[in-house]
Amino acid sequence: MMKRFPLSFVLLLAACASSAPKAPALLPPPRLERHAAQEPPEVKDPNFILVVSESVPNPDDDGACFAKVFIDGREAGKTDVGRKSEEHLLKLRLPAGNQPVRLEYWVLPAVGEWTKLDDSRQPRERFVRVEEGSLVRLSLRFSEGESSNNLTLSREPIPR
Amino acid sequence: MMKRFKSLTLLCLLAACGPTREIEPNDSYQQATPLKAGRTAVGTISNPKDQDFYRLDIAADAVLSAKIGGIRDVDFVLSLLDKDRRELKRVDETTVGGDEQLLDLGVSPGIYYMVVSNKNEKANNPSQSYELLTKLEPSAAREREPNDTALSAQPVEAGGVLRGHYWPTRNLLVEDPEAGEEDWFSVEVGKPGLFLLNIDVSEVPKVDPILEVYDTNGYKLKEADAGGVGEGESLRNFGVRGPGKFLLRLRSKYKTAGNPDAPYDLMTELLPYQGRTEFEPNDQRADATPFELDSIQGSIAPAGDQDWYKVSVPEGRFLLRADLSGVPGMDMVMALKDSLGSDLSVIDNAGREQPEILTGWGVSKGDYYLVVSEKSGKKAGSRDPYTLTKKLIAWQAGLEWEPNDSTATVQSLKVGESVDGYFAPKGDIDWYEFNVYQKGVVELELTGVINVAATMTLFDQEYKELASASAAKPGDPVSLKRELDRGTYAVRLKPSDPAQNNVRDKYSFRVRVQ
Repeated sequence: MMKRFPLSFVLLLAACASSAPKAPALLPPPRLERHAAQEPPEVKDPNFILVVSESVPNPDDDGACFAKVFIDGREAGKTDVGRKSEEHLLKLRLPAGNQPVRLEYWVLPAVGEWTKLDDSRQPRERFVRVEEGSLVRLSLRFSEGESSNNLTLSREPIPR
Repeated sequence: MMKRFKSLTLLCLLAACGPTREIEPNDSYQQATPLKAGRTAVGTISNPKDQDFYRLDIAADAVLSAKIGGIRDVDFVLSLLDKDRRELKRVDETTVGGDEQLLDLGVSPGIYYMVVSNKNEKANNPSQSYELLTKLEPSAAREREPNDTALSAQPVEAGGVLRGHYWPTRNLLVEDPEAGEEDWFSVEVGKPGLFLLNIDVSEVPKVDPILEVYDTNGYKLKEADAGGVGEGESLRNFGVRGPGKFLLRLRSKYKTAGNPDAPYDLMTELLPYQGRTEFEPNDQRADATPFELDSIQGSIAPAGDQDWYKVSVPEGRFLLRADLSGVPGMDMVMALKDSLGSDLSVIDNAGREQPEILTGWGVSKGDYYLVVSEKSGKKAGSRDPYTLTKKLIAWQAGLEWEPNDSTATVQSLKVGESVDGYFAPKGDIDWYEFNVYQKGVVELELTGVINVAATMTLFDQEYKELASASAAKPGDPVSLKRELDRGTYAVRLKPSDPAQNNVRDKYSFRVRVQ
């Protein structure tokens, strides 16, 4: 009798499963949390802000993305994760001086894991001078399906 | 007896060959004088209100013409009506004493009526006879009036010649008294697929023709009005999708101008589209001709014509090169536009009858548009085609990537590497950027390019100018040497004179550390 119980339980489960309506076979939208990068920690008195965004003409292509920042070859942080068309920020407190800054753009395809954009499409590495009392804003904007990007630098005094 | 019989036969024969005299009263359809088409009728206008009706029995499809004249004082009006007494055409081109002509009337087996009337109330010449000459000709390859509206458009088979007249000058059977004469034709494309329709209208003295193409919804697709008075019109490579029907409207630009003596020839040709020529109308982004082969031909017609070609770029990074041939008498301009139709680059390096070249533009997966036009917008030449060729070159390090015209689109370069680029199109500026990771002496070298005296300017990462050097004369190389700290540096290369350019020879720019 005890041996029969698991069999009937399995049959019951199978019956429930077969009677349930089947969901349409659609690809799920990209889940932003799939091995997502963690939210960047809040930095006190930042002197460097990275702003990353992308021009996405077709909403269907508006997948998830984030960017990593490397200062002098070492990873210094990641932006938040979100839709490509949104602005993603990373605030850092960097030591004063002329620092080589390299950015890495990562995207989440409809199927698969986070993928680093091909090197030939990554933004160029460039030096950024960080000075006391000023805030450096580095803006990266992708367009044409990430095949083109625009990297601009601006500086503003830090309000006291 | 035999002599009498012979004489009678001869008289009868002569009578049959001679003109038909009207049989008064012939003032109504019932009393119409029978007239054999092709014969001449003779009659009189007995009073200003006299109307003479003639009945024509047509035996086969044909084209009927008629001419009347010969009485001073009379202002003739000539009409043709069908068996249902529906007026098909009316002519009243001249005033008192003038002749009137009906031309190209398409007739089928059955009864028709021709009505002669007078407009001059003071006409008083009852003894003088008029002559009404009629002519019946085979209808093959002839215009068949009335074809004055889209609804009555005459079907024509593409691939032949049709002869017609810009006559009469006015259409008297519509409400608008100023309405000009129009000839409508319909071209049926029976087979499915893409085709090119070529249309030529021959020249006619005194007439400046306008040729228009409409779809069956009444939308005008194209207008050809390149020629002037006494010149023809031509429409080449007009793209049509089969099966389908298209309407041609041919008219004289000036409503009072016509020519009953010299006919026009309307030549049509339908060719399967093979991607080797433009597919008109391609005057806007939505109608761009797909540019899939290596080269394509098109023509600028009418004046102001813009030809759009869509270049679909596959996955990858490429340099798009495009060559546009020169055209007799024209200064051609070529523009590269993005998928939304915004200008990326406008190529207008050379002058009249010279080719234009897009030396290379960085493109990636997506649609781009090449737009060809004539600079003044006032010239046309449907018989002088241009050839547009394109090449997608896989991009690799060491090649310039346009656009690099500003600090925002600067092209990065590693120290020790070189890059090959062009000073083109006219006014081109190229920006490069490199990083120096260890303090040292950096040398910048730029090879000479014929026709260009280049200037090289070095900037620090804040775009403050550090140094500059220029070629002594066009074709000379330029170099700069400077000790640089760690940092990012930008170099601007440009011709000293913005008008200088070279679409043929590349420069080579190198950054190295000593």
